[in-house]
Amino acid sequence: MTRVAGFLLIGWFFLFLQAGPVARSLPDGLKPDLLLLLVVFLGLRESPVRGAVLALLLGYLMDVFAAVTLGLNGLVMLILFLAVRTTADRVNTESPMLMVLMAGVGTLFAGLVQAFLLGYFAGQEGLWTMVIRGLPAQVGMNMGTALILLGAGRWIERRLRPDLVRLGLWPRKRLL
Amino acid sequence: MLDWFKRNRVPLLLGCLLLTAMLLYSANLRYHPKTTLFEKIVLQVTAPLHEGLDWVLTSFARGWHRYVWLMETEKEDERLRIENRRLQSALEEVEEIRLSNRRLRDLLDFKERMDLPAVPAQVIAEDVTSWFRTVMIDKGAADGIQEGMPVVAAQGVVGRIIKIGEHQARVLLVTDASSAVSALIQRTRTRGIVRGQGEAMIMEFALRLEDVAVGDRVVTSGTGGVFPKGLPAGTVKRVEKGDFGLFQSVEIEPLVDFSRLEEVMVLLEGIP
Repeated sequence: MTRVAGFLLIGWFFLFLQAGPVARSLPDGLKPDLLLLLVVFLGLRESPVRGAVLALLLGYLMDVFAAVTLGLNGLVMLILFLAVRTTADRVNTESPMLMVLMAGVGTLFAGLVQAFLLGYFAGQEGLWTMVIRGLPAQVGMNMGTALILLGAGRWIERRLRPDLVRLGLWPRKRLL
Repeated sequence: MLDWFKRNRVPLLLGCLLLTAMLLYSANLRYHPKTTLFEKIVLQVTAPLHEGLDWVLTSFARGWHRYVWLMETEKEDERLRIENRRLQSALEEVEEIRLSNRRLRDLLDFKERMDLPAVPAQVIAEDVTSWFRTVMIDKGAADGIQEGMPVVAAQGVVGRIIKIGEHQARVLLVTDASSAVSALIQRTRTRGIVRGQGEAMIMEFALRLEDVAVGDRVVTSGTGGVFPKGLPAGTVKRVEKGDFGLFQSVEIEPLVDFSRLEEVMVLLEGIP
């Protein structure tokens, strides 16, 4: 339960960053999808049921701060989680660079799912073409952000892990 | 049978979850103009957290900026640098106040011209995704705001309210691809529907034989049921007339700079 609450809190913090400081400091219409990176991470490291529930909740949380229809990002994040979870058993999830690669593939996959849902479910043609057009830039942005986050995460693990574990702010098991 | 269920309980659970998510999305597609209870609760709960975190981050950024600045001053004459910084900061503050004053005066002039009851609001956050164009404002149901109300800036049309919390509301910008505004070319009265395309907008259903030229001003027609008539929406940037077909393609540049949107006005009565 603490783990679920922790991930939800991280998700909310990521959303706050995306809606405020990050959005203000980047060119209009291009921002890293931090929540998507979190879901990819969940797909590689979490158990199927807990991860799926978390992905769905994080997606719904994202829906409140984005778009028009509640449920779109919830569904996209759940599908993304299931896709990553299915492939996680076949790859070396310990490899840090895999996360960067998965961030790129995950962005592409989530973008295509979103375009499909917008085009065929919601009938919003203008939107799905915009999503497809913006995908290459978004893939690059998310991979770059994943690389930075990975670097920051590994630095924290190397330098601060024992203290954070003692304070109960970091899991005992190595994360990255 | 029970064994089979036990063996496959994880895939079954995941399948149920997926089905539930699809059904929820599908149901919300039908009723999306309404803010759901879940959204209201999340907005209500996160509003103070957002404000608090924003304050912490802003203070941290300010403190960090000051620290970096002070490190540099060690190399130069300290007294002059501090004096210079103080004056510069005062000047920046004055400039910020001057700019804010001008924006608010424009907005006030605009409000007087409109002669409609309106609530001024500040933009506090943007959309969290790269695909959609929405912003969050600091006024909500407690200030009399309702879903569907038009939002304007001094330069023209901004969008309409799509979600409301008690003290916050989300605005769907006219540049969002799911936004459509009934509009006309001011000079020739050619009618059409202005749709968002991310950064720019396009005017659909403008008849090919109608006279539309680059630089023409586009205003709301007042027939869409949301925006009052005559609000500036943009200027014609490009016109493409094919040899065939009923309509021409008209690209429109918005008058409002959405990347620098700070103050807006929510019109409490859309159509006078």
